[in-house]
Amino acid sequence: MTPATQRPVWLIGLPFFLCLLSPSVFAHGVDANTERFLLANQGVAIGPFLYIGAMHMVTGYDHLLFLIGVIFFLFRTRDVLIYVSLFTLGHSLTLLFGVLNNMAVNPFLIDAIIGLSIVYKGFDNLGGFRRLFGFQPNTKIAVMIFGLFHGFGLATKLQGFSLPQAELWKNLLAFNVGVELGQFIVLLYILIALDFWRRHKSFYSFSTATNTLLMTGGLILFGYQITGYLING
Amino acid sequence: MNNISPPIQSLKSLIIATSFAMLLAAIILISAVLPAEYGIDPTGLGKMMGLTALSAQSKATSQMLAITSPVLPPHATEVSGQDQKQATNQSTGSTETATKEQLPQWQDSVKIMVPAGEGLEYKFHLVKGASLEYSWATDGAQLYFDFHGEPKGDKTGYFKSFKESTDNQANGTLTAPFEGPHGWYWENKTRSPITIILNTKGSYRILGLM
Repeated sequence: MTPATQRPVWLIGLPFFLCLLSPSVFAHGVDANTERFLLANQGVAIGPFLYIGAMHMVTGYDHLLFLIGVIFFLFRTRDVLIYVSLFTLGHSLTLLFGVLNNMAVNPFLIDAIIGLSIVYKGFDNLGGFRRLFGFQPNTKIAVMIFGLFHGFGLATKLQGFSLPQAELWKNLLAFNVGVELGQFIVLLYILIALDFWRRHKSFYSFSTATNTLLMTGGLILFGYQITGYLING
Repeated sequence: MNNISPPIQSLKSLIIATSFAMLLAAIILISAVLPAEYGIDPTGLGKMMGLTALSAQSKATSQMLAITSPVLPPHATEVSGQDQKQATNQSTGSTETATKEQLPQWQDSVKIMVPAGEGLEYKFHLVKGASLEYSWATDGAQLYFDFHGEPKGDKTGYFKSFKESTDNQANGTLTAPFEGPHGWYWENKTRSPITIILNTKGSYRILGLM
């Protein structure tokens, strides 16, 4: 049902969502103030949780790398919106489900998967899947799956702070909405920058180099997190 | 807007791009990320650049405000107001158990104050197989703690964690799995100082605050 010319677009969108949820902030260093707040907080705190969610999206470098990869060849606003929504859906499901049911997944493994998603996106942007395997993986499904993984990662981290159980869902919802806001803000910046770059020939001359560096970044994150898993996991 | 398909690279440039990415990632990981994050430094470059100092071990910034009389029976705790009350409760509790347990037999008792928002370490040197019996409690507030040991002479920043949690007290007995410094990293995440009273017994040498 998807015309051949559109497939690359779907593919590109997939990793984008994964990155959006990047848990880097929560995974290995909620900053000291946030940590103190989370540990001390005893009730519904919509504002702070909104902010923490948004900051989480804005400051996660893995998140940013993934976003750049996903949007790199995504020229239509509609496609951007579709992929972001799918990712959000996946992430929200597992975040809410995970925290409310006390399910935990090792954050190192989750972050390693996020790293791989960046590699995947860079490789995809080079046309690697079509060249090597002659087909384009369904990017929408992939984005959704990455979203689910990411939600579990966040859920694990949030549980470490033994959040108050009373009306927990309100805080989680606020956190989720904050993630959306942060995502939106980051998207704006990246889209503006990319749109500007696309007007210049250098965008096309450097697209291969850019995506190669994306893969490099993803591999570094992967190695970093897997080592953490082996040592501390 | 146009929907432009990404260019499909030739097999050759795909291989070049992927190999380059892997090579560069490996170089950066081995020379910088692993030494700085985990103290794993196969090339020695991390140490040369001072990156290993960033790894987990050194984050336990040792700071203390006060360490008072090394031998401090619980009932001798001074302070005032609310603390007084808690201290009294605590000493009452301790006294009750004294007859049943080995409280009077503690070799050492130390009072450690962890400043608000900071962390510190208190260590004992143990030889392999030596035992350390311990019991510590705060004046009520909870602390994050990591009870761990480091092999003697180890430079990689490796440490083995025996117990890591957030609580206002803990007790037990440790049999050292290797020779080296063993002890606690306590972190006070609250906005006011927390006082810990640590009682110990066993064959060890006190290294104290680090």
